Parts: sequence; C-alpha cells; structure tokens
Amino acid sequence: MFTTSTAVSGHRSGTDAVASGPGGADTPGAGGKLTVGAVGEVDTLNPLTYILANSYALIPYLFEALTSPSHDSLAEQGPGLAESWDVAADGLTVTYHMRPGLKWSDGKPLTSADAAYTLGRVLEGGPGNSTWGNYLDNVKSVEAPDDSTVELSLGAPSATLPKMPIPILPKHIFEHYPDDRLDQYPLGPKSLVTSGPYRLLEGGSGSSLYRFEAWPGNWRGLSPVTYVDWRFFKAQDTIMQAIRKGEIDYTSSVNALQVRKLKSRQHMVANQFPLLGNFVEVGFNSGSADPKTGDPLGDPNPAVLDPKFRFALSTAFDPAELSHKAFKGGLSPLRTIVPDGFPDFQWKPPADGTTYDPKLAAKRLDEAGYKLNADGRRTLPNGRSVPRLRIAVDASDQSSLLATRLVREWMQNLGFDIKIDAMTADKLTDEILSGNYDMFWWGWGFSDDPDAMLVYLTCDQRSLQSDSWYCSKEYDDLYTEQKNELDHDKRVEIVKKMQQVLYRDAPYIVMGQPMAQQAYRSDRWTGWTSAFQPGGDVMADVTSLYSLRPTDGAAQDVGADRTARTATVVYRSLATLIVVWLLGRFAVARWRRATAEERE
Amino acid sequence: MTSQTISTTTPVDGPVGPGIPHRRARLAGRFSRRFVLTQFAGSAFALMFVIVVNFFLFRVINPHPERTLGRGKARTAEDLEEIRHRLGLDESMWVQFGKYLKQVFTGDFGVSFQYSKPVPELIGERVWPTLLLVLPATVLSIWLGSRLGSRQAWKHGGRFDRSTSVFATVMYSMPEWWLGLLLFMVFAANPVFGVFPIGGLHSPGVAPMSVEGVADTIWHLVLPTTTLTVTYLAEYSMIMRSSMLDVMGEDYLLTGRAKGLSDRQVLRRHALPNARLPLTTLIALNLAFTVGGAITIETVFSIPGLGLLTSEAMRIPDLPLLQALFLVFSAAVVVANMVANFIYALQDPRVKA
Repeated sequence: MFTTSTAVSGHRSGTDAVASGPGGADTPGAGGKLTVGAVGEVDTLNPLTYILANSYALIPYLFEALTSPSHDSLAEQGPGLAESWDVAADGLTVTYHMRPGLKWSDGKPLTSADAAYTLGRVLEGGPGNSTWGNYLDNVKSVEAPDDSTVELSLGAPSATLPKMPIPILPKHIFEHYPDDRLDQYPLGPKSLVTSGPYRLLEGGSGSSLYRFEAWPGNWRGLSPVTYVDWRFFKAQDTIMQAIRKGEIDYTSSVNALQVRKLKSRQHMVANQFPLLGNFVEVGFNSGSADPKTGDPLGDPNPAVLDPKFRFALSTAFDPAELSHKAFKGGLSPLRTIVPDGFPDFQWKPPADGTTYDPKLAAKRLDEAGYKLNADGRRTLPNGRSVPRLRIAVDASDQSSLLATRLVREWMQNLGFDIKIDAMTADKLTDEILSGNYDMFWWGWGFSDDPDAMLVYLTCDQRSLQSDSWYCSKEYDDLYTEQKNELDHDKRVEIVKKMQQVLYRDAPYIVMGQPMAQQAYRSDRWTGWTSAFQPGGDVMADVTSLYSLRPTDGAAQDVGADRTARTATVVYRSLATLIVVWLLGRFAVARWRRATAEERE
Repeated sequence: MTSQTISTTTPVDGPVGPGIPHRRARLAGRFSRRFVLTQFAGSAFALMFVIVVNFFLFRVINPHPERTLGRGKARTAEDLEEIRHRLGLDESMWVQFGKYLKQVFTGDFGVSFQYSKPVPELIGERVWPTLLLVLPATVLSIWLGSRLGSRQAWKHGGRFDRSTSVFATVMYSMPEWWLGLLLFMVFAANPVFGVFPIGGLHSPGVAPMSVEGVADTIWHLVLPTTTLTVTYLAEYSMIMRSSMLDVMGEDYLLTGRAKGLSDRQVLRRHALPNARLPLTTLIALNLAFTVGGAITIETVFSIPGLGLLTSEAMRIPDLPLLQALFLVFSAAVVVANMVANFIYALQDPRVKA
C-alpha cells in the first residue's frame, strides 16, 4: 500500500547499541535460531541498488553506517562506525570520528577511506545517489584526512546532518565494480564482504529464505542470537499459520484481525501500534504542468485545481469510519503530513477544520461557488456542471480499495459524480506523472527526518516525486529556510508553518496514520524490546536482537528444523512400509506361481 | 480403419539394414520432407512473431518503468535521467529494439531492472522450483488420468465410472488455489494433521543437496504436487474417458475380440493407442503452459518459481526480465506444439502428409 522513500526503520542510540558492551552479549554464542516471517521478497542486498522495503530491512544485518538509528526515537540517531562527530559553528563542515580497530568480514581493516569512498560515490551520482543522495544534500566534498576521520564540506548548512545512515561499502571490493558493472557485484554468501553484526549464510535475489550467522568482528560484539532466519512468504494467511504452528518466532506481516486471534494463544504476544513516519491521504491534482514550459499536462478536472474546493473537502471524509470499515481498526488519527515519531515537528490543525462534518463541507463548497443545481449535482463557479471526478487507487491493496469506495460515497452525498480508477501501482505512478487523474488514495512512509517528506511538496519535485503537482513559492521559501536552519526550535517553528500552508492549500487531505501489527512467541525467546515507542516493533532494528535471550528450546534449535526432522521420521517409516509391501508382493507372486504350476 | 490400427500397433517397414539405426530409419520414413519443413517453418515464424510482440507489448502497457523505480528515490531530473540512462531507456525505440534482437539471438537478455542481476541467471535460479513442482505433477496426472479415464470408459455406467466421473468433474471445476488452500489448512496448518511444512522448498539449516536435504525438499513438495496432480488429473481423465468412449464402438475392437484376444489385450493394443490421440495434443500444450509455473500454487505454498517471478516483474515493469520470461513461455508453447504434431503424426500416419 505504501511507497516508502526509505522503509520504516529506525536508528539506534549508542547507549542501547552497546548495552552489553564491546564483546556483545553476556552469553556469547549461547543463542539459538530466531526465525522471522515476512511477506514479499528481497530484490537485492546491494545497498546501492535495492528497491524493496524488505531489502532495506536486511541490509543493516550486513552493512554498518557512520551513524546508526536510535532505539528510543525515530527522530534521533546514535553512534555507528563513528563514535562521535563535530559540526562546525557555521554548519559548513561535519567531521566524523570512527572507532579504532574496525574490520571487514574478510579481515581487511575498515577505515575512513571506505567511508569517504562510499559517500563520494553516492555524491558523484549513479544508482547510489538516487537511493541515498538525500542524506548528502548541500554536501560538496568528502575527505578522509586520516584513517579514522571523515570530513564533509558543505555549500550551505544542512539540518538533517550529522545523521548519516548510508551503508559503508568495502572500497577494496566495490572500486572494481563501477556503476555499469554493479550487476556483477558478488552478493553470494561465500563472497559477500560485510561489516554488520551478521554474515550471510544463505539467500539470493528473490529467495524464500535468508540465513544469517552472528559475526563477532562487529563493533557491537557478538550477538546473542547466533542464527537469524528470514523466511519470505507470499500471503499473510500463510504467515499466520506459520507462527501458530511455531515455524516462525516473529512476524510483522499480520493484519488487525489476525492480531485479535493470535492474542488469545498461549506463549504469543500480538499487538498493533502506529506505523511511525507513515500516513495515508486523499491527494489531488493541484495543477499538472510541464515544469520547464509551464504548459498544462494531462486532463485534470477543473474543480480539483481550485484550493478552495480541495480545502472544503477537508471535513467531508470520516476517518473513524475509514479506520473501522477499510482498515479493520488499523488507522490512527492524523491530519498532517508529519506523523507520529516526530512529535516536536507535528502541527495540530484546528479541530473544527478536520473532524468529519459533511454539512460544513457542503457550506464551504457553496461559499466557494460549487453550488447544487436542480438535479442535485454540484456546479463549477462558472455555472457548468462539475465533470465526473476520478479517484485513482492501487488495485492490489484491499484497504485502499475499500477506502476509495467510502470516499466515493461521501463525494456522491455532496452532489458529485465520481468514479474509481483502480490500477496497478506502476500504472498509478505513471498516470499521476502524466497528469491524467483528479484525485487518488495512496500513502507515504519515511524515516529519519520530516525533511524527507516535506521536500516532495516543493515545486522542484513536480514530475519527480510530487504526486499532487503542488507548487507554492511561500512553501518553497519555508522549505529552504528550514533546511538551512541548525537551531532545532527555530526549525520546528518553520516546519509547523509549512504544515499550515499545506492545510490551507490542501494538495493532500491526510486521512490517518496506519497501524502496524506484530506477533511474536514468548516461549522461545525472552527480552523482546520495543523500538522507537512503547509497545512498538520489537524487530525494527538490529539493536533489538542484542537484548534477546533464548529459552532452552531455542538454544538447542540451531540445526535442521522440526520440519526436516519430521520428514526424516516419515521417510524412514515410508521406506519400511515399501520394503514390507515389496516383500509381501514377492511372497504372493511366488505362491501364485507355485499354485499355477501345481494346477498344470 | 483397420489399416490405421495396424499402422499404429505394428512397426512400419523401412530401409533397415546393416549400419542403419533401426529407429532413425523408422522415424525418417514416418515424416515427409514437406511435413517436416512446414512444421519447422511454422514454428520459426511463430517464434519471430512472439519476439517482436514481446518487445512492444510491455512498452505499450507501461512505457515508463523508470518512474516506478524512481518513486521515493529520484529527487532530481538528473536522478531520473540517470535511471533512464542506466536502463537504456533514453535511447531511441529502434536502437532499443536492435539491442533487444541482438540479446535474443546471443542468449544474453540483459540485466533485470529490479534485481540488478543478469536475466538468464535469475531465470536459471527460478526455473528449478517450477520444474520440481510442475513436472512430477504433470507426469503423475498424465499417468493416473489416462488410466482412470480409460478404466471409466471401459466400464462406463458402472459404479466406478459414476463415482470417479463425479470426482473428476468436481476437481476440474475447483480452482487449484482453493484445493491447495484446503490441503494446506488440513495437512500443514492443522495442529493434529498438519504434518507437512507451511511453505517453501526446504527447511532452514538443511543442505539442499544432501540426502536429508533431498528428502526434505520432497517432503515440502508433497502438498503442492498433490494439489496440481489432482487438478490436472481430472482434465486428463475426462478427455481420456470421452476419447475412449468414441473408440469403443469401432469395428476393429470387435475384430480383435473375434480373433480371440482377451479384453485386456484389446484395450491395450487397439483401444488405448487410438484413444490417446487427442490426449497427445492436450499433454503437449499443458506441458508448455506449466513452464509458466502454477502461480497460485506458488503463492499458497510460498515457492519462488517462474510464476511469481513474472508477477514481480510485472510490478515495475521489469522489461528485460519480462521479455525473456515471455519468450521462454512462448517458445515452450511453440516447441511443444511442434513436438505434439510430430508425435501425432507418429500415432496417426494420415497426418504426416
């Protein structure tokens, strides 16, 4: 349902990350096997070219970054390969101080040369830039003055620094693979050189199983979970059965209904929590036009180009009913594009402007000139009927489809003719960028900083990431101001002003923040800790793994799993049965031949 | 009619002599030059048509895969242009078509947009799960289906015929994913009867190429293979039954009985060979289509085969991968169709002209 700029994950704080100190767990190597179940697949483990959120979830197992996510807050970050950093007073130089004695899994030293090479490569362009370039906004050059220092020189201050979650790559390997040969980069378990807390034992592009083994050379020390298996399934129902049966220990690929069912089971913890950094919205075509020439693009309905029309609809849709009917209770209230996870930055719109009130919506439409005619249909301010509106939606997402049906009903009640255009996600992207739509239902997800979302509504993003074609000089000026503002409090105020502008112009009507669900077994592992929020995801980052401890059952379960053992038992039984059957047939055949000979 | 029966059940005389392999001589005698040329030319033409359509089809459906790949990533026009350039989409359509043709004829299908991996390598990895799944199911269903259908027809109207015909009709009308889900819920998910694994092709921690690993993979394949076998079997048995019923009224069966052959001999030597003719075409075409994978079964049992690979490739669309996959699927159908024509000609000499 969601397209993520970077999949929801987080950063871990230094205090949490080194909770067990260098050397890792207090019982090194004691861990058994933790099996995670997920829906979907991994496209590639190459940090420069991955696309899918599942790949993003696995890459931190293998590659470290200069800074790593805070375990406590999505908005903060902690140490990673760098144990400290300095930002110059003018904000034009950022210096990272890396830990001593770091090494790669092939034994070669991991130094600032690797970091400078990786960041420099991202900065140069190519696939790395489109994946990670936003973390290097305003950065002009990267230097490595000595083995443990990385220095960034900036053309203008950047409020998102010193956060630097770009995975650092082994220079001695990657420099042999320029962008046009990246497809040949060795990603196999035997050849992959890594620095993360785990080594890859099994798995390739699109595999249904990825196996990881704890690697003691990581700066955190040895993880108490010796093996982590990620199993990829193709349907939520299958995952539900897998965790019930005990084939997996953890999953976040269950829905709200399944969580209710799993809650009642013994040794099972199941809950839902706000999906931080995510929101769903009704978006509008605010004026698709060729950014170079300014010529109109596509065929938007004239009504949606009018900010007053869009604003009037702010109270036309009922978030509570959407949550209940379309999301099975899995949508929490949110009316701005800065979701939970960034509480400082969040602006709360006035209550009367966001609560469900179709009468107020109708009144605002009347005031804006969209009056009802004798047929009960709304007209444009020029007196002509509002042409049929179209709302586009990703057909593969059931919740989105149900949501658009409700939106259609509410729009029809207000006197509009509206139809649903359901299509594949790639087609939806194409239609939006071609300007051939009026409204859509979709969502965004981001991590690290609200800047990642705020930028998508700037004029420069038209025909790129902007799906609303929104363009406002006032908003753009505020965006640049906040980007260069290093004072946190001042920046917060600017970001809040930006949200007010968006509320007024309504390129999006934010309908809520989706809830995430998870279920995990408490009989095989203890010490599950939530990341970023109380009751939140217990597997959101690799830090969570360091607090886990196996029970006796999990500690012993490091080899072939129960399925394989069952298969062995059954095969032995089958083999026995076949031998008995063959002997029986042989005996019967001998007896028949003997009796036939006797008859002759 | 009698001559037809004889020709399908007794070897045709040919230029058999010292140094001439008997089988080759026999086959050579079976097909006229014109027949062979027509078959190969027709197949080649069909393949060329498919090669051309493959290129344009996916570009018509969605001409901008870079937009999907760049969603949430490309923040500047240069980023988007870099993606287009990297994927070769910035070149003219005819240059792209020329490169595509070169790739097809050299067997190098380029690099997947989504997986950043050479396409032949990707297909090579995914073809094995599909073959492991569909080949045993197809062989089993052909064998069991033809036996079941012939027995139903041979004793048509009896209790066996009536009960198995109902079974076959039910199975044929049942969506395969639904049957798969039923078997999954009972024999995989159920706490009492669920002895089979939830999904995948092998258990974590088991070396796939070891004895234990092979046994474990077969164990994982029991439910999906059973599902496919039962659904395919129904189709084969129904066709075989109908075909056998047509044949059973023929005079040559009466002749066979009159000359003292047992019921079993009449069935095996005279009825079955003629009844198999329509089944041949069905088998050949089905075999070709199964190469595409049983996508619904792959989904239910989480088996990463060609079917799911195709569905993933459609999301972008991943042009190099889709072009190669559809070429493989189409080539399988064309080749299978040609092979079916040859087999048909072997079984029925009237066709060889």
